[in-house]
Amino acid sequence: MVGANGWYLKSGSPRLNNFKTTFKLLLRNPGSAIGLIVVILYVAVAVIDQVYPRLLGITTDINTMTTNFTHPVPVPPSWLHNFSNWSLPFGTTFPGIDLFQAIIKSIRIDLSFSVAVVAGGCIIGIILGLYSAFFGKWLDQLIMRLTDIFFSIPFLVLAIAAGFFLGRSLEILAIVLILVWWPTYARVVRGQTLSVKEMSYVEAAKSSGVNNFRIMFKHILPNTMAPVIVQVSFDLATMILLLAMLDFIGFTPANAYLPELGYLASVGYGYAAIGDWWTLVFPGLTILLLALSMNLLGDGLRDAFDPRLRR
Amino acid sequence: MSGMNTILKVEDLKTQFVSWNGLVKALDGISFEIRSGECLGLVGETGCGKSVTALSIMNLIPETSGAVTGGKITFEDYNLVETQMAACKVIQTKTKPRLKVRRSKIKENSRKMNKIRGGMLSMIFQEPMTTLNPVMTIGEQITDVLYAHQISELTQRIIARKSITEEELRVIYKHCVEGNDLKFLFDFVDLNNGLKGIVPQIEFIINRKDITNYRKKKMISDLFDKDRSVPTQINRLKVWKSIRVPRFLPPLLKQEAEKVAIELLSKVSIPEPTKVIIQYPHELSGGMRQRVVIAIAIACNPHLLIADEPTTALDVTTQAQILDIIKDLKNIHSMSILFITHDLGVISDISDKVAVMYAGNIVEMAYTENLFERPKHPYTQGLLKSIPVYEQKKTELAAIPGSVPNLVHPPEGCRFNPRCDHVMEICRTTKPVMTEVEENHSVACWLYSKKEEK
Amino acid sequence: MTQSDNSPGRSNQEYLLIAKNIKKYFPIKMSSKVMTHRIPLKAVDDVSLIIKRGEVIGLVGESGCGKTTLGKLLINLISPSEGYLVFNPSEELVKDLGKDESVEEKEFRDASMYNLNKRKMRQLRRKMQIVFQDPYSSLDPRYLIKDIIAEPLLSFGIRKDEAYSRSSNLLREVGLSDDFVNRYPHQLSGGQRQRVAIARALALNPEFMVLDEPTSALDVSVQAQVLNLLENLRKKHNLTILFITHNMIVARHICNRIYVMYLGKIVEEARTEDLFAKPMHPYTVALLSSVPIPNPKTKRSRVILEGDVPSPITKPRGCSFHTRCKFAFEKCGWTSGEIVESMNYILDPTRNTVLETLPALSVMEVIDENRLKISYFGSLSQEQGETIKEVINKERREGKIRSLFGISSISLENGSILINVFESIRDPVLLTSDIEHLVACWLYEEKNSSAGSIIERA
Ligand SMILES: Nc1ncnc2c1ncn2[C@@H]1O[C@H](COP(=O)(O)OP(=O)(O)OP(=O)(O)O)[C@@H](O)[C@H]1O
Ligand SMILES: Nc1ncnc2c1ncn2[C@@H]1O[C@H](COP(=O)(O)OP(=O)(O)OP(=O)(O)O)[C@@H](O)[C@H]1O
Ligand code: SF4
Ligand SMILES: [Mg+2]
Ligand SMILES: [Mg+2]
Repeated sequence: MVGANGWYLKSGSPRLNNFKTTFKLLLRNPGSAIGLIVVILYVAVAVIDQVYPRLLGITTDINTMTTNFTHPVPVPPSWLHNFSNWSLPFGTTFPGIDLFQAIIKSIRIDLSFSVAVVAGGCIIGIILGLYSAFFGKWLDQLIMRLTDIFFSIPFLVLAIAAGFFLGRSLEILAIVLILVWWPTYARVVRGQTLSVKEMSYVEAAKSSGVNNFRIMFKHILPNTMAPVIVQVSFDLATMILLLAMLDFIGFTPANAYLPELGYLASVGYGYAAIGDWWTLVFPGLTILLLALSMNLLGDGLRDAFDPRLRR
Repeated sequence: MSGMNTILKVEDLKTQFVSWNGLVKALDGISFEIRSGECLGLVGETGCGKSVTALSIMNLIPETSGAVTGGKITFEDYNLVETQMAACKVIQTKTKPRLKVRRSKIKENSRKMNKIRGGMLSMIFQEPMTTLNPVMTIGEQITDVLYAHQISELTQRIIARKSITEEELRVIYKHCVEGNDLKFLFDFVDLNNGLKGIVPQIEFIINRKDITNYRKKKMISDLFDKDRSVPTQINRLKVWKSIRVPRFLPPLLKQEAEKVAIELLSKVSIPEPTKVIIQYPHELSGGMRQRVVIAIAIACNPHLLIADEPTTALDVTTQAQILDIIKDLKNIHSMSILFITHDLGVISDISDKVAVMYAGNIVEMAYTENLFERPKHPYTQGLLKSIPVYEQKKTELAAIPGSVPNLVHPPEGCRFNPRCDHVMEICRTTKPVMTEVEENHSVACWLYSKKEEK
Repeated sequence: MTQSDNSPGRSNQEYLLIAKNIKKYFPIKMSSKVMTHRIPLKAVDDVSLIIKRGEVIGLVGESGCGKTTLGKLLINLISPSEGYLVFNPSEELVKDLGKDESVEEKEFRDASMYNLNKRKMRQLRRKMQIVFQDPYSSLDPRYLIKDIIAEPLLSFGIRKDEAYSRSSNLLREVGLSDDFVNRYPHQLSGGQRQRVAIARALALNPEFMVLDEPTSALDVSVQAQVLNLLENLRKKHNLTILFITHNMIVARHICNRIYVMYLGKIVEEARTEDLFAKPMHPYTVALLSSVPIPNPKTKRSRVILEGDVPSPITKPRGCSFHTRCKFAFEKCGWTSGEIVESMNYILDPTRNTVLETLPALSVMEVIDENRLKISYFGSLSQEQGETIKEVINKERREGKIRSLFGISSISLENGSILINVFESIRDPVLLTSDIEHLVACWLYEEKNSSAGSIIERA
């Protein structure tokens, strides 16, 4: 009804191209608004931790954690005994490190890891998907078979194998995940490009002598971004959970100096059994909240981009 | 054509939508009537509210986005919008309009409308593909409609051919009771003596006050059963609840329905209907699909057929075929039709009377010939002048300047005033009402109302 | 504007564009049970046309007949499967037209736009532009109106400030005020969008413009505005226009000359007045008579075609219109497959009592395109064969079932009936039947261009 109706569009019904309306729609939905705020908070914490940790009350060098090997046993949160004492808000965990600091540090590590993986996969996927759909023919066949191959690799096995042969480091893990993650984006972009390519504004641009590169990146790409953005927000959450999971099973190189949410949780798992609940609860809640809010945000974005829901 | 009874009467109908940027006043008090056997053409530009009119009559305005907010639609003896208006209301809050929906009323309304829709009142939509179910064969789709509304007619057809045994009649009979089509029970008592004795028994059971409906149904079922077995009983009770499309049908009825489907398809000039009933919609061309849609719409001999741009998506040569079929329906089967289109050529071809719509209002209504010969409203005049004349070549067309107004903030007074050549002071402030300037020719324009006042 | 120097500028030659035997076949994937294979969809099938400078040519036909495809081929937006297209043909080429086949072929190949290299083609691009049917998808939703119009200018290396001042001039020229410059397409109505599309096409100052149903998506009152605008612009810019439409009323209003298309082929070409006064091809006759005229007083005899347009994948043999034509006769390209259907109908014993004496019909076998075998249970006697022949001949004389005209001979062989169908030598070609009135129909070819209008014959 929307498309074919002259004035209906003219009267300013929200459209994809309008960033402001998308944003407004996003905020109109309470779930996604909360999601957005929480995600922004997390990002802010990570950024502050990187550039000016004193704001968070972290006085020491960000790259070293104070360990207390004389008392490696977890200490409960300080406010449990004395409510005005907030020196150890989350208590400590093995080996005597401040859990609050560790969590903040690991948020930074987790977020940058997942952003790196998603961004890498996204860029490769977008470019390959775009070329594949735009030029078609053998290139399309080639790239699509390539995605099939990468899709059929079980990433967990690949990650473990790479860990064995190339050494356990976050960088290698990121590269491995990028390798198996780009095909998702390639497919999304390719499908979207195939439909945008048929729009007559693309043909009009061709007929007025605009070159292919410009058509691809100025006309087609911006019009394929909506589903990609949605995919990105879901994938960020997936990536954090994935990393946490790999940590939990003890696969990644995380340690007390390079903490990570999954690692903290797995350490806490042992202590929680003997009653030191905070060692598990705080890292666990942090992961939960982050993944939940990212998913809420993704849902909200998908709705905001869906023309049927834009009434 | 005078002296015929009015079949549909729309009075001061108002429909509004709640949208992103405000209240869309899509229909702003339109009134018209259709007499039986007459074809009224509703013509206007895109977005003027033609489809909304049709949907309002059919009670198909989506309750998530809009509602009928005023007026009255009388179709034969039914008041169509009463329950609908109670079910769904537009509330104007300070910042933006909102819809208030009452679920229970909606259910009541749809129960009421299901009896009327598809039976006495049916509609053809613009896009044939969206009305046909892609996973059902054409035959199934037509027979479904027949089962829902025409069981008694089907049975009567079977009986009239006398090829029916008493046993088969029992089966059908039983089915009718299950379908709660009780009125029909008493229709053909005389036709078959063998079952005569049963009718009073059923009547008796139905009229008992001391037992529940559930029990009544069971008792009636038992009347027909010779060898009772528990599973069938349960099965039957399930069927009982779904009155609309029964899952279990006696094969005889099925065959008859298929026969009727073939007849209907040949009525709309589909070649080889026996082949078509086992095909799926996507196997047919656009024109064929539209014919199938028409066949479904006329399956239950509707008293009024609403056709919303049935030919717009088709080619001229196919359009000519479809118009021919609709004309036949009108002339031979004397069906009343509300024909909606934006094509003045089509409207002049098919309708007896024309109502011209502009931005949610009917601005002019007259018999077709009068309207095309002596258009009164400046909009109608402009519209007729802006189409190239077929008979001779002209150099310049007289276009109406400007474009259709926004229905969220429509112009005050006459909604056509910003584009009108004859605009006066009063046009900008007060809305003109429909006045009859000639016999059976009414216009909503101050140019004509004023003359009367003088 | 560096390029305009080496191009010859606006020549004053009579001819603007010559297309010769253009074909465009789209490969369509058909999947049978075992494997998928590709078969050609003949969207444009052997079209030749000549467009003179300053003309407004109409291209009419039903949906799917290949109008858009031909339009795009004529500005080389898609490349053809076969054929030549010469833009601004040289004097010699025009002189040699229709003289010596082999010489002509070579000259065309050399001059053809399809064989130009990329750089030369880009120079030509700016001389030919297209406006699309759907104003809602022809403007990029993320661009401002001014950017949309300036884009072709910028891509040909015109300076930014000049391009933008040109773009606001163009907007004014198509009747939109300056405050549209900074809007997005979705803030415009259909008519306004179409004006923007026209302005964009005009930006490069083209000589030839293809308008692909520019008013189909618009309301009548807006359609009138756009048609008026086009007429004015055409005069002002001395444009040559190919106007694609399915609306005969609009075609009549705006075009000088009209090509009628049916299933990828041009079936009739004439000056507008001639075409409407005296349509010749049976398809044109039907097309014109089914146009709904907004005047209840006009009473016309209607020719309502039966059936639907056949799919371009399985185009009928010979004249592709013969399946629906009311005048189709022996030569029109019947196949035995088409005759089977009518035989089924005719030889039904419940329909014709004479046939009741015969044994039951066993099978109808299509041997090839030109032969059909009808066998009965038991072999037929000479006499029975005659009966069947007589029945068929009688129906044929009545002339209601046109496919029977395709039968060239009926014979009795080994006790079954063998029906031969006229072989199709070739498709009917566009031939002059009048001055500047060409029609591709066997009826006229038959009578050696002296045939009158079909309406008179009927
Ligand atoms: N679900 C809806 N929500 C909001 N507005 C609506 C809705 N349905 C219709 N409208 C508005 O109501 C007005 C009338 O629409 P309608 O579909 O009746 O037009 P129409 O005359 O049928 O036009 P067309 O010729 O394009 O079919 C339009 O302006 C439209 O924007
Ligand atoms: N890219 C393509 N691939 C395959 N088939 C195509 C392609 N483009 C067009 N066709 C087919 O070619 C035929 C002609 O298409 P075309 O769009 O030229 O028709 P048209 O006359 O413009 O129709 P309309 O009036 O609906 O616009 C159609 O049957 C269409 O399905
Ligand atoms: S050639 Fe002429 S007569 Fe024969 S089928 Fe075609 S249009 Fe009809
Ligand atoms: Mg509508
Ligand atoms: Mg087209």
